[in-house]
Amino acid sequence: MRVVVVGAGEVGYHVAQRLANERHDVVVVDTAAHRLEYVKSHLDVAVLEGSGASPAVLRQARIKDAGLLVAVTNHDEVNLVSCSVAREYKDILKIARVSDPGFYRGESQLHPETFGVDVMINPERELALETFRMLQTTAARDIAVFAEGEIQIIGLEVLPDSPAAGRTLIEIAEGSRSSGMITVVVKRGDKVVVPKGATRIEGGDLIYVAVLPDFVHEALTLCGHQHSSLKRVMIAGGSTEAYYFARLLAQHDIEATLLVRERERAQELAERLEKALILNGDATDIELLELEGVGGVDAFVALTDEDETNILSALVAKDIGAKQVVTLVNKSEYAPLARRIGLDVAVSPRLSAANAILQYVRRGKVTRVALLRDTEGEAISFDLTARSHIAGHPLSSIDFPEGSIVAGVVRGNQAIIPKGNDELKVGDTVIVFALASAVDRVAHLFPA
Amino acid sequence: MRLLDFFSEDAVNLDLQGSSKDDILLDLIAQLGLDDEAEAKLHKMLKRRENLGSTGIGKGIAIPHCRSNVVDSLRVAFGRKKEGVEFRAIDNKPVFNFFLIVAPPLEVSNQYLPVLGKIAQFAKESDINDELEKLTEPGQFLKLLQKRSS
Repeated sequence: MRVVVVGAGEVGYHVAQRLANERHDVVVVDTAAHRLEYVKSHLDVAVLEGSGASPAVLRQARIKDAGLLVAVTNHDEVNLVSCSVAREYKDILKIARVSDPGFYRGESQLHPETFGVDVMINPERELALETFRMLQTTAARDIAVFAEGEIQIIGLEVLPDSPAAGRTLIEIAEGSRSSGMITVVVKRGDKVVVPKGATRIEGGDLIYVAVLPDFVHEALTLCGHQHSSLKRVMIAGGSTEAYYFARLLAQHDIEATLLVRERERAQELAERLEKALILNGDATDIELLELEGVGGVDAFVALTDEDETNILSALVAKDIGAKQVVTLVNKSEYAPLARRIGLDVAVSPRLSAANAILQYVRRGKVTRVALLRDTEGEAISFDLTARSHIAGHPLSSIDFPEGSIVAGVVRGNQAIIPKGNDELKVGDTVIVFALASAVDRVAHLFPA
Repeated sequence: MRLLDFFSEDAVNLDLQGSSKDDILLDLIAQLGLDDEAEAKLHKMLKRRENLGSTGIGKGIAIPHCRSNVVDSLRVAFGRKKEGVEFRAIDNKPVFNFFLIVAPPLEVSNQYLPVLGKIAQFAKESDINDELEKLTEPGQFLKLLQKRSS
């Protein structure tokens, strides 16, 4: 499929990368020549300099042959106009990044539908949601949720003296009420494998476990982590992400304090966030953090627009004693660095956004896709149709491609973590983890 | 934990005298009944905190707060200034109602943040300024607190 990506920033780059890896014919459009130069030297995609809001430029990008337009510049207006221009071409799915909260609260006179947008994605809101899910499950590096949370795939570091360390998956299964969880991927150093029963888990591994909600606690214990509940969260920054995040906390009756450096922004947020305590101050100021009692909060979340500020304030908060620290990292190069210096989780908006976009790319047979951090793989949920030949056979007899594994099944109202002798049925929603190299072959098992 | 347990009538002053940010802080401190040396130390600390960013959270409310070893348990005070005082609040508007919170640097029971959170919640109720303006004696403040905070 031909895909036109408007915007060569972090979000556009990442989306283009994922789609190019899946052998789509991608062209990236941007006005900034230096960004395009970077894209061109790193990805197997075409680039075109010009405004994505210009009909002539989109024509040049051969929009008429495209099946998908992804408009993800930093400017809502450009993205909306770009979709609007593409409206005359039929059969193109148009996805626009729209970050202004006003569009989601019905305040605006301009509804995205008037621009011909099929899907609006909001990286800031996605990021706030991801951060919240992560904090709820302490110790989780990443969480992907399927079937409204009935099946969750959680990334956990295996602690050296935990029950899982040193045992094979079969041994672990024998020692627990294992029917509610399955390990779908193991990362050791740079090596990522989809494990088998004989795979031995070691301390320091990052594993992703698909679990039913009642088994989250058991999965955490297995990896040596404790479950904790959130009561009090401190947020550094007054960004859009911070706004969405504070709103989520309020909805869950969790107390939030925001430290906002710009007074005008602080005032704006104080008016819009009814429950949160908004204080004017610099989150990198050690004394301020100490006085605000950051050592006593359940979590400190750094969500300013500056990566450097985020990393610095997160480090200070961690040092003073915040139980959990989450850092927003915009520049992807910083993510590994943030981890190396001991920050618990680094969330990057590009991944959140790419996740949101990819769920729609293969719409039809695929109902949802979640990229799993650090694995080069993704969890995909497929609807099993009568055209698939794998229905009615025990899982163990199905030839799933190397690098893939069934993580869960949703049948009617019931979520199941299947075993080898379980059969898939037509109408099931099947959640499969697949490494990037296996995605295509897995998709063939699930014709629309 | 109830906010009411931390307040007493002595710590409520419905007629603050000060007309500057600094004087208001002194008035509030005076309600805690500390000795002169402790008062001076606390004043300095609160001023330092205000210099890092005003605790005026907008809509006529300020919550000056800090940790200091001049107290050995968490202390609070409420003060009202009907005419309002310029406090460099985030909305640049005068402040009428002040909640002071002082906690020792090391607290076993860790009440500082819960109390700060509860006061912020109480103070952000949309009609709270009207209710506070109506008060004529300290006992009514405690009743309002009881009614509005869990």
